[in-house]
Formats: sequence, C-alpha cells, structure tokens
Amino acid sequence: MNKIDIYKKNIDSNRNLNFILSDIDYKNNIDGPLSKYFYIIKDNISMKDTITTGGSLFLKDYKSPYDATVVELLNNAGATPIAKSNLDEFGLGGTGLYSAYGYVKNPFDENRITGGSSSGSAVAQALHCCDFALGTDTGDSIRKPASYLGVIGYKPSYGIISRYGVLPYAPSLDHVGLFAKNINIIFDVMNVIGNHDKKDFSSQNTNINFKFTNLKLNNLKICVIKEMYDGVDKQVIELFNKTISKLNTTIREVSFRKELLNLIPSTYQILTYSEAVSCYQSFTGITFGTKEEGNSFEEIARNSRTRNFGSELKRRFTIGSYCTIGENYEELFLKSKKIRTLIKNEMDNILRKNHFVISLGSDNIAPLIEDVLNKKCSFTSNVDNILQISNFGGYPSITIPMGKINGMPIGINITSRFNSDQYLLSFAKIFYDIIRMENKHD
Amino acid sequence: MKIDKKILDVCSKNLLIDFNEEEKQILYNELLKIIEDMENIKNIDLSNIDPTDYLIYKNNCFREDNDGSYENNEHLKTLKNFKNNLLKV
Repeated sequence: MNKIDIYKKNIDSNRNLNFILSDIDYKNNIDGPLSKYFYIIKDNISMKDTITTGGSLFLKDYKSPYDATVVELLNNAGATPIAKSNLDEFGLGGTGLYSAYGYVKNPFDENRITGGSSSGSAVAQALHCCDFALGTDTGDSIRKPASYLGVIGYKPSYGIISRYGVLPYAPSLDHVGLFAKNINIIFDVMNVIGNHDKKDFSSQNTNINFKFTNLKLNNLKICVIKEMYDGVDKQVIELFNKTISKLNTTIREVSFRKELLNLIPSTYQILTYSEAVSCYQSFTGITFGTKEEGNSFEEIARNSRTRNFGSELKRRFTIGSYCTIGENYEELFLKSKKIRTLIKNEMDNILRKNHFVISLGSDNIAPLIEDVLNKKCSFTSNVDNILQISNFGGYPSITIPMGKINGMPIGINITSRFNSDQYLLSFAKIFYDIIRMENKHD
Repeated sequence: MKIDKKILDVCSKNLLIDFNEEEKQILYNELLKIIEDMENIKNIDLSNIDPTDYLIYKNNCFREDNDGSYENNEHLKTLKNFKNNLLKV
C-alpha cells in the first residue's frame, strides 16, 4: 500500500470524528521539492474550485475562485492536497466546538475537546492522515491543539507565510502555520512557503534559510517565565520540570510583569474581536455567501447574518462592535493597542537576554467538553497568556509532544526571537529527539 | 465607562445581527466582565506609549489625507440647484 492510500484509509476509518469537511481530488504531476508530501488544508484557506466554508454556514456553498498563495506555492512544488479540515467558525474559537458542521472529536477521548481553532488539521496529524496539515494561529490555534493531541504545531514569525487567500480573524495577529509529522518536514515546507508575497501587505521579505543548525545546548540561553506555574496542577508541573531537565543545561527563571499578564485575556479579546468585526462587515449575502430573503439590502443582510453566523461568532462580533463605538474606541481599543506594545516590549526584553522561552503547550490535558460548555474552564491561565504573547509580538513559536498524563497527551512550547525561526526549529528538533529518546528509556 | 443594555441595540444595528433577550443578557454580562478587567489599566502608565498597529513597518502607499480649507458653501455653489444659500432637492 502506498502512502496516499494509507492516508486515505486513515481518513475514511475515522470520519466519525468529524475532522474532515471535504475531500480533494487532485493529482499533482509536478516533480518538485515537495512531491513526496501529502497535506491537509484548514478550511479557512482557499483552494481554487474547492468549497471553502470557513466552518460557517455563511459560506456553505462558496467555491474559491483562486488559490491562496500558500496553496499555490505548495502545489507548484509538487505537494498534493488531499482534504479540507474542520475548524471553529472562521477561526474564532479555541475549542473545536464552534464549527457550523459539528464538534471535532478528540481521538484519545471523545468526551474531551481537541482545542482549536485548527481542530481538524490537528486531528488529521494525530491520526497520521497526512505528512503535514495547514492551520492558522491568532491566539494559540495551532499550538494548543498540538499540545492536546500530542503532535508538532508550528507558528512562524508574523508575515513569513502569506495570508493572501486566507479568511481572516484579526489581521494584525493572524499567522498561517502547520502541523507536521516531524520537524524535517517543516524545514522542507517552509523553504517553499516562507517567501515574500506582494499580494499580502503584511508579508515579510526575510530570506530565512530553513535549514537545521546543530546548536550547542550549553551555549544557549534558555528560560522559563516563572509566573507560568501559577495555578498549574502538580502532576503537570512535575512532567514539565522532568522534561526540561532532560536538556541537561542551565534553564533560568525569569519574571514577567504580573499586571501585564493579567491584562492579556481582555486585551486579546478587545483587539481580535474588534478587528474581526471589521473583516466580516462585508459578509452580507448580497455579493457572495448564503443569501436569505428580504425586501431591502438591510433586511437581506440582517437575515443572512443573523441566520448563518454561529453563536460564538455573534458573541465576539458584539464585543468587538462595543469596543469601537464612540468613546470606547479610545478607552478600550486604543488603550489595548498600547497595552500590546508594553507586553511586546516586556517579551522583547526577555528574548534579548535569552534565546528561547520554554513553557507548557497547555495548562493541562484537554478539558472535558461538558466543562467547557458549562464555562468551568476559562482558558485565561498564564500558560494561555504566554502562548498569546507570541501573537502579540509575532514571535515564532512551536509546540512539541512532551508526554502523557492519564493517557492524554500534553505538549511543551518553545518561543524565540522574531525571525529566528531557523534556530527555533533547530532547537525544537534537538529537544524533541532528546524527549523521544529519554521517553523510550523511561 | 458606562454600559447599559441599550448599547447592545446599537451594536445589533451596526452589526446587522438580531439578538434575542437571552443572548442580550449573556452579552451584557460578558461586556461587564471586560470593562471590569480593563479597569486595571488605570494602574498602568500609558503616557508616551505608541499603540501597536502592525508588527512590520509599512510605508503608506496611499497619499496622506489632505485637510483642505474649503468652505462647504464653495462646493455647494457649484451645484445647479443651489440658490440663495439653499439647496433645492
């Protein structure tokens, strides 16, 4: 059986987990650097002539008229797309519970969430359905599900992968990234897609060479933000400390201003929800998308939006709208942008003195769906806050598997300086090799 | 910062999305929580702090806004239906 047949078999035998929205029938005859790879696309990323729903009823029949740059580059390099994956509606959700097409189920325990919003891509990777899967990350949407599902999830520096053809959430914090079977695949893929794109105004021209560099651990300055430990279960802390001790090098503890950490959840909500409102105001059902009946433009738009946007989307849009009305613009939105500057400055200071910040990939194993729906989980721990700092500052960040607690995976996260992706990936590869080797011995 | 449930009607109008009473109550509580959290900003000195818009500096490829000094009347005078400082519609 060849690789593609194995992947398709794995998809077919797990369709009940609701992680795939549509299959892609695409034969790639291009002989390029990625010809050996098969990949899955998060369904907020466009591929010409395929349905791109964004996980929303609003685009349930929407066929993309063009390829997103990232898809175009991958296909031109010989990679073959095989399916589009489920997600929280337009990426606005962190659980995998907010797609219009139903919950994405956790393959380790169906009573638990997968994390999100790149839920389907993370599950695809965990079930060995592809070599890599594209995702997007605005808060922790790649790195958190990677932690919950025991896979590698990488968010590059801001602007390295083009966002052209990707449905936005909050453009100033949106990143395209990927899950992958191993870090060598990430190097291969990033050499193709980590390029400047003139069609994306936030695209960077970095010329990063995505090549493994054999870093000497003793020469590296590695730290842990000590506030990360606040409120984390003893069992999780024990696994984390045991894992970082495997590096057998000095790891310093540094401090992050607590009053800034405490402001991250509300700052994140104000900034991202406000940007999202602006992005989706043109979704009226008139020019594209699901159109409902009405006697005027306003009535058609109101009916189309009310009936086809999900509850979580409406909640976030309302908060975003409130934060930009009248005096709130200055009191909430503008002040949040300033807080973002302070958070970024604080992290820049830490990264000036350290090459890597190590943290947990999530504050615990994946929570129960019931607990999430009953709001017993708030996702506002300092572990969550530290993950979001990477989006505030555009830092490259990766989650790799750390181990299991009660049979459920949990990951470890590494963040580095802006545009240090080559070194972040190299360090992550070294660290992951150590973890796997030591776990075999344990 | 003031908040009452009427503001949710303004949001609903701006967003072109209808909410039922139950949804309004949930949203109202959420907004209260955010405002409460943001009260903590008062303890942080934000003077001389530039807001972060984008992480990569970009040149404005459009022309800068030109604040003209025209009186409204000068524009109006060019209209056919403008007579005696009144515009016939």
